[in-house]
Amino acid sequence: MKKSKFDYDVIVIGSGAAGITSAEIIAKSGKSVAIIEQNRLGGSAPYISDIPTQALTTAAHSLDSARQAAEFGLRTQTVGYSYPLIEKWKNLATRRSGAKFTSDYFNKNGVAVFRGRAHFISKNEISIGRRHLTAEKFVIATGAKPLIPNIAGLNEVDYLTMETAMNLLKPPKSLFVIGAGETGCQLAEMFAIFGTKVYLADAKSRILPREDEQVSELFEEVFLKARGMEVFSSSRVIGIRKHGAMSIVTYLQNGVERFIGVDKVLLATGYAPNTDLGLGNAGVEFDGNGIKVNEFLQTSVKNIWAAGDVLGRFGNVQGAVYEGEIVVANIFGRNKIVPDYRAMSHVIWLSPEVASVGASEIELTRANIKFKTSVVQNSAIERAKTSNFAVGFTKIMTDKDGRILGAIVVAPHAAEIIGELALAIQYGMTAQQIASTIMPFGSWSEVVRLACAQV
Amino acid sequence: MAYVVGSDKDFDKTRLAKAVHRSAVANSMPTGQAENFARYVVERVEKWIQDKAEITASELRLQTVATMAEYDSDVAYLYENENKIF
Repeated sequence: MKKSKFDYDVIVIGSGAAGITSAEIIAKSGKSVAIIEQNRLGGSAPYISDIPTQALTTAAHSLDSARQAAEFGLRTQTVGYSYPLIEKWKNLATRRSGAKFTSDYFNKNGVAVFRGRAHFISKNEISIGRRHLTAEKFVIATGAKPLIPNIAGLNEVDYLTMETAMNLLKPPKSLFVIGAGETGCQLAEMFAIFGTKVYLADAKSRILPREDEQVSELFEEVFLKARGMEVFSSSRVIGIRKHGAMSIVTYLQNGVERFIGVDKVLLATGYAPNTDLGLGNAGVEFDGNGIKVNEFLQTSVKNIWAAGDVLGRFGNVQGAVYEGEIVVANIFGRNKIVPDYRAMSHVIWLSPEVASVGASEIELTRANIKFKTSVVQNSAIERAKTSNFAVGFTKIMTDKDGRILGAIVVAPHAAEIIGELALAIQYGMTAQQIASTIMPFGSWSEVVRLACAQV
Repeated sequence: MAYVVGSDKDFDKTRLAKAVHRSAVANSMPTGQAENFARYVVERVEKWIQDKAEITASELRLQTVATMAEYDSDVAYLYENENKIF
C-alpha cells in the first residue's frame, strides 16, 4: 500500500462541539484523524459557557420559584442560599459534563490528541509548539472568545467576563453589565435573583436586540418590576475608573453623561472568533466576523474547512454539532450538502425561557415574504392559572398557505416546547396540522396549539 | 521567543525596530517620533507573538504592516513596499 505523504488524513483544530463531532465521525469512517487542543478538551461549552451557566441559572430559578411558592401555601418566605454550595453544585455539573473528554476517550475512539496551540505554516502543515504535523485536509473549529471592548480605563479595574463570573466566591453587592444580549441578560437575571443590584446597559435601542421586539419589551418590564434591575438601553459606556474598592462606570445616554458606582463590572459584549492561527500562511480568508466559507463550509483553500463558532454565525452547541457533521459529509461525500438552519432552535435561559426557531418577523420582512402572524399570551391557557405564572406568549409566523415559517415561545419549559415547532418547520407542516394535534390539557404546549389555531 | 520558520533564528525585536524606524524616517517623520513609533509597533507585535512558538516571515510582516497602518498608513505602505521602492 502506498504510504500517505501526510501524517494524517484530517487534522481537526479545536475540541469543542464542532471539532469533537467532526473528529469522531472521521475516525469511525476509518480515516486517520488528529485533534489539536490548546486549552481543555471539550471546548468552552462544558467548562465556561452552556453547562456552568445552566447549572447556576437552574439554582437561581429554583430559588426564585421557592420564594414565590408562598402562593401555594408553602412556608418559604425565608428561603435562602449558600453561594459556596451553589458553586459546588456548578462544579459538579461541569465535571459530569466535561469529564468524559480526556485524551484516553479520544484515543479509544481512534482520534489522536495533540495539546498545544496550532499555527498554520502552509495549507497542509501546522506547527504545535516546535512540532510540525501535516494533513491532507483540515477542519478549523477553534470557536470564539469573549470580545473585550475598547473602553477607557477598563484595564484599571478587575472586570468580570462570562468565565470569571462563573467562578465568583459570592455574588457582588452591585453589578454593571455591559451588553444586554443573551449572555448579559442571563447573567444579569441570575445575579439579580441572588440579591445583587444589577444595572444592565446596551448601546442598542432595546435589550435582547437580536430577538423579537416583543421579547425585548417583555423582559425589560420583567427585569424592572420583578427583578429590581435598572435597564439602560441606547446607553454607551464611555469610561470606567477605580474608586477605592468600587468601579465608577460612566455612560452616555441620550447625549447625557451619567455615572454609577458599582462593586463589579461584567463584560457581555459578544464574542470574537479565534482566527489567530496563521490563516494567512495557508491562504484562508477571514475577517473580524470569522472565517469566510462557501455554502458547503469550505474555506477559500480547497482542503481546509471550518465549522462552529469560528464562523461567527450562531454561537450555540447545536449549530456547531450540525456544522461538524456537515463538514465531514462534504469532505468525503460526492454530493455536497448545504446546511439548512431553518429548523435550528435557539434558547435563552431566562425565566420564563425564550425559545425561537425558523425565521423572525424582521427576516421575513426584509426578504419581502408575505406572512401571517398569530400571538397568544400564556394567560389564555389553564397551565398559567394552575402554576400561577402567566408571563409570556407564543408567536407563530406562517406563509399564505399556513406553512410555519418561524415561531417564538416565551414560557416555562419553552426549550422543550420549541421542538415540536422545529419539527413542523423541518417537514413543512402547517399551523392547521399543529392546531389539529391533540395536546395534553393543562400543559404549556396548549399555547402553541392555540396560537396555530388563530393564524 | 517565537521562532521564525525558514529563517533559522528567533524573532529579533531590535531588527524589527530598526526596520520600522527606517521606514518612519523615510516618510519624513521626526527622529524622536519615529523612535516612539517603532517602540509602539514592536510592543504590539511582541504582544501578538507572545503565545506563538513559531511564525512565518510573511505573517510577521503582515502583522507589522497592519499594526503600523493603525498609526500611520503612509509609513506602513513604505515598509510593505520598501523592496520595490528602495
